[in-house]
Amino acid sequence: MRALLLFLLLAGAAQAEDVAIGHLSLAEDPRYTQDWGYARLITPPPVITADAAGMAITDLKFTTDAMGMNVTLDARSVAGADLLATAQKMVAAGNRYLILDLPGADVAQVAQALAGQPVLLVNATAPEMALRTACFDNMVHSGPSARQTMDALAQYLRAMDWLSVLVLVGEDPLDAGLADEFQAAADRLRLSVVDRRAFTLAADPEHREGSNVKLLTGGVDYDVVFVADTRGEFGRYVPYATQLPRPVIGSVGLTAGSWHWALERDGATQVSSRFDRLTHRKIQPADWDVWIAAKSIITAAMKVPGATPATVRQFMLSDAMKLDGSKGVTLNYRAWDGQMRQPIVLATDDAAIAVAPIEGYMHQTSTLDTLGTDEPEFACD
Amino acid sequence: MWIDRKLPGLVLAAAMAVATLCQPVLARGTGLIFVSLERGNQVVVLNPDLSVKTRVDTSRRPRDMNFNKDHTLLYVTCGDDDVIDVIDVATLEVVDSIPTGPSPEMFQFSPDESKIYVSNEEDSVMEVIDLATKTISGRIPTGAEPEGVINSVDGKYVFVTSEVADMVHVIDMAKAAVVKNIVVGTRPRRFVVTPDGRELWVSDELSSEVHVIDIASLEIKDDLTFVPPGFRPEDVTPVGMAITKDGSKVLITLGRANHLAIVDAGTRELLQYVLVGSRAWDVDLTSDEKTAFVANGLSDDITVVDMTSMTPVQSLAVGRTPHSIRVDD
Repeated sequence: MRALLLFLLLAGAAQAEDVAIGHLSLAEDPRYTQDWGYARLITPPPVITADAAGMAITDLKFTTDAMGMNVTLDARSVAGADLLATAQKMVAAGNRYLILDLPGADVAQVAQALAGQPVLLVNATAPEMALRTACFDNMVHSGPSARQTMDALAQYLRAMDWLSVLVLVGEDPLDAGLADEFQAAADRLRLSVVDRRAFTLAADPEHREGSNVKLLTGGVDYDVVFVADTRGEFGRYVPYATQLPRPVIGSVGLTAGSWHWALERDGATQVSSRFDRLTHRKIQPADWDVWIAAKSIITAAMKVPGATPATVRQFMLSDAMKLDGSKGVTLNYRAWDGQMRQPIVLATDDAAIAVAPIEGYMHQTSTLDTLGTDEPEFACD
Repeated sequence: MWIDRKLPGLVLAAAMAVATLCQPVLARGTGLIFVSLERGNQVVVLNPDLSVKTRVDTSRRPRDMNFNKDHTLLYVTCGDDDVIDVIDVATLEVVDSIPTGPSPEMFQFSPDESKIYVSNEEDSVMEVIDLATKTISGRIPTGAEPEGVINSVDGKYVFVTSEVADMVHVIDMAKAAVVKNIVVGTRPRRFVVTPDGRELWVSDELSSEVHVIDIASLEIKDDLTFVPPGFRPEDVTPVGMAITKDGSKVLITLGRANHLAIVDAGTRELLQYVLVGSRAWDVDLTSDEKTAFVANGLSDDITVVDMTSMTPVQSLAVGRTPHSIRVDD
């Protein structure tokens, strides 16, 4: 019986008109867990990005119906221990496209586990550069890389003439990675990083200079403080606590991401309000990353006759891919690292302050390539 | 003087038309220029000499505007209050508000002016509003974020763009149903129909194209791109269009590329790129077609274009986020 069911599912998936999309996430993704912070600090609300994939399917339903294309969504949220087995099952069940909303290390594991299988993976929310330089031939990346967001911040600092930066880094390996990418972005635009200092959450009096913001930000002059704190536990106490009266950017203050609910041009309001009506919460960057991942898959599958995961990926990486993400420009994916080209929003809690590429940053082929690792700088591991 | 004031014959004809409606003041041919300000919640009214005559407070987020046939009333969709405000052109006051579905954007009257066809951006329908009763008499589902709405010259079809579905929906009004979907470029926005009724031009904001559709066959017959010198195709985001009465020239605003393209409609050749303001989004012509006005959404101004020399002659600040511009002459 089970074998028969499997056969039917596979037979269904073989039809050119079907686009079977899976969405895989962790039931307890540490990045979204509400009580992760010390003493239940307010962290982002629990994010279930599968809703955003469903929204993309609904958004495009008029078109897919007209083309006789049947788009399905198989969303599974699992415990970490079941992740790889679930990924295998989802492919066996006929899903030819998997949107991954997972921490970076899990994304890499899934990519390796599914190598050679007929499935295209879209890494939606893991910004790690190592996933790009791994050059998985079964993957593209819809959410921005760490370097794209850091380049956006660097462009803004250069445009504002805030040229010297004090960098504060947390203990999480992701924090060091983010600070490294900021350093690379700062180097490209000749910003000066005056010092890079580690902070700690421990209140040990012997290490006061690592936990006391005033001490941590003293003894040096700078225009702006950059905080790499992916957990957000420390960073929230940095604004208004620095020894010099300076703005704070990075993980707090002015942050860089793929989306912000306060964006209101280019049809952004419509996307955010549709999401709000659907889920009764404000859209987060991770939701947009998943929404655009599903939209990418469907848009490409509509244009490729007899679409397969491999031909859809090939199309996504070509100039023929023209994707509307309601950010005012067409989006597509870079051939060299599978990363989606996209504007980056610089925002505070309640306002979109600027959108990078900032006006005036030019590039020989696409201004969007001023954000992220450019082709000449890129090499696979 | 580059604005040719009203022709005596036109005034007479308008006066006769208006007299039958017992309007105390002559409306048609006032020469007034109306600009809707999306974030100003106003329609600013300019005199023919471009001085500000008045600012009419409207419901929130006024966008598309159309006159009724005799130009006594100007209808304005107000996206944040879900109404179409009606401005009396003679008194310059809002005299009525017609309720619509959520977030009305672009609209057209039916050829007999008994109905309004309006796209509801948040609801993915084209609504049919009965003007006499001011009630919604039909809702025709479209792809997400419907925008441009236009009639075919014979009134048989209504065409609607869906910005998300990348389609032009062809609605047969006798059947009140979509009879064909034409896949065009990315994020299709607005239309013009050639006066001979044969061609439908569609602007595709994000793929930097203008598609020309043959209305008889409902097939795409041309795909045009207009890239001013120094710009890349991705900088060009065509939105608003206008066409001369003889159908010889199409005016296309190029959005982020900050230019207006004036195009020979027959040969599809570019006649001139005209530098205008930031994110040029709508354009209208005076009835003598000597002057075009362009609304620039990001620089909060309008650009006055002399059509004889095809050059910009003046820019004028009008208020927050100009959306549409209509000339009453």
